[in-house]
Amino acid sequence: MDKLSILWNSTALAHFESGQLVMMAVGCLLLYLAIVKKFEPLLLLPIGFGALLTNIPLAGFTEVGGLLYYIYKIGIDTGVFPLLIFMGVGAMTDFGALIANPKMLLLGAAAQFGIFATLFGAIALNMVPGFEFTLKDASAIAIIGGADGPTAIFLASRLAPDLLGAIAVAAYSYMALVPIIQPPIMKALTTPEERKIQMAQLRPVSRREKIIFPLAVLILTILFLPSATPLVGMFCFGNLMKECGVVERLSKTAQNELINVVTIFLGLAVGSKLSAEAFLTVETLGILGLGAVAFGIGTATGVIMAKVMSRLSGGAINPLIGAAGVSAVPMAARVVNKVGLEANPHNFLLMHAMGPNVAGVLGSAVAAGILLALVG
Amino acid sequence: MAAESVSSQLMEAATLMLVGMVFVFAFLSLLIVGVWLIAKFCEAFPGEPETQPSVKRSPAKPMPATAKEENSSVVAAITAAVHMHRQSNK
Repeated sequence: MDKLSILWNSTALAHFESGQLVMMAVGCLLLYLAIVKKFEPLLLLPIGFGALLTNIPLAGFTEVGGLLYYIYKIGIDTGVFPLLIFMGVGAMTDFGALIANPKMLLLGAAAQFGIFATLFGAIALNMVPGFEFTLKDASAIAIIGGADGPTAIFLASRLAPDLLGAIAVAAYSYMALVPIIQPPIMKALTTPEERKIQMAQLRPVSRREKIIFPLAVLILTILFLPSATPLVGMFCFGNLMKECGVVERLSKTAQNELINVVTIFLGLAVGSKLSAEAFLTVETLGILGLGAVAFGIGTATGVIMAKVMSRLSGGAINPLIGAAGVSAVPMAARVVNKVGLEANPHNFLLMHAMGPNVAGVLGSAVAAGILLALVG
Repeated sequence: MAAESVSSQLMEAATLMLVGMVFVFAFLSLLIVGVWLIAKFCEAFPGEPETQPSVKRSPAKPMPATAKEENSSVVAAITAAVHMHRQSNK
């Protein structure tokens, strides 16, 4: 009988807490979204599985000595994983559309209002009982509006590691929901005539310009915003590897093997933050809500800025492309293309939307640098 | 007291919003000038290496994207041939 009770106590059944079961259900929900709904499967699948592993009683994945503990410690605590991902993203990014039409940088800047407005909103939520966001928490939550996974994880690991799980899940879920969140906002803010505007073809960009561009971005960041150099520096490094054309092997590794390896571990490590005590709080609900608001505001300000530029340029710019300013590469640009085609079946906006799209990546990295410098 | 601290936090958040947006716009506007300067520089000094990519680019552009793999080897061969031709004509 004694032996039987020892055996019983060594099973998980005897130790399950309700919170762990709920979190396992959340993990299964993420797996469902990834496998069946195909929502950002590359990230939600490892995150969901990480959540399952983390909540196994007695296994101790996230205690000292556990696998996920070390993966988190090595990769996210240090900020290494998101930065390696950013390098890979840099190696996949083509700045040609942006160099051909640099004014698009303004759209990438305008869409960052989503971040700062959400920061204000998160602090305002403190008036509701149950919420106690510090300025650091609020900044980490607000960066969801940057619609950039690695940037959000990097900033959250620096400013609010406790909220990292919820922030990462919100960031990637909303990125998957871009095709649902953005079109109604875009349509509400533009007239059918505006949506029909066709844009002039972009000029070809020389290889030399593409090589000098990442170096110029890096120099500006070094001079004016050193706190953003981890993000921007790795991004520019990846981009330079791609554009210089002499290290094709390294560039291929950065955009394929390396980013895949890191994505697996990054997802598991984020999943390890989905423990019941960290995730099942009223703050998580606040974060999910604020994230959606951040996306919406960013899209809206991008479109409004594009409208202003359209007026000033005498109708040479289709205001829809402003929505691509919220990074979420390349999903946001595809959404712009789709909404544009609905209004005018001969209007292909994809290349024009790529400009603000990559500008949004730079914009959110700059915004993250500002938050790190002022709040961190 | 709590309300007071929230309002001071709100003030701080509002300042951050203002400073942040101004800085993002300033930084990216500076980058616009930077890109413009790069374009001007590349226009003014096309330089010797610039002729190669432009040769590479012009045939590459109008081709359909489907035959990309094949194109790059064809383009590489043409580029090498042009290069050799130039070298021998010097």
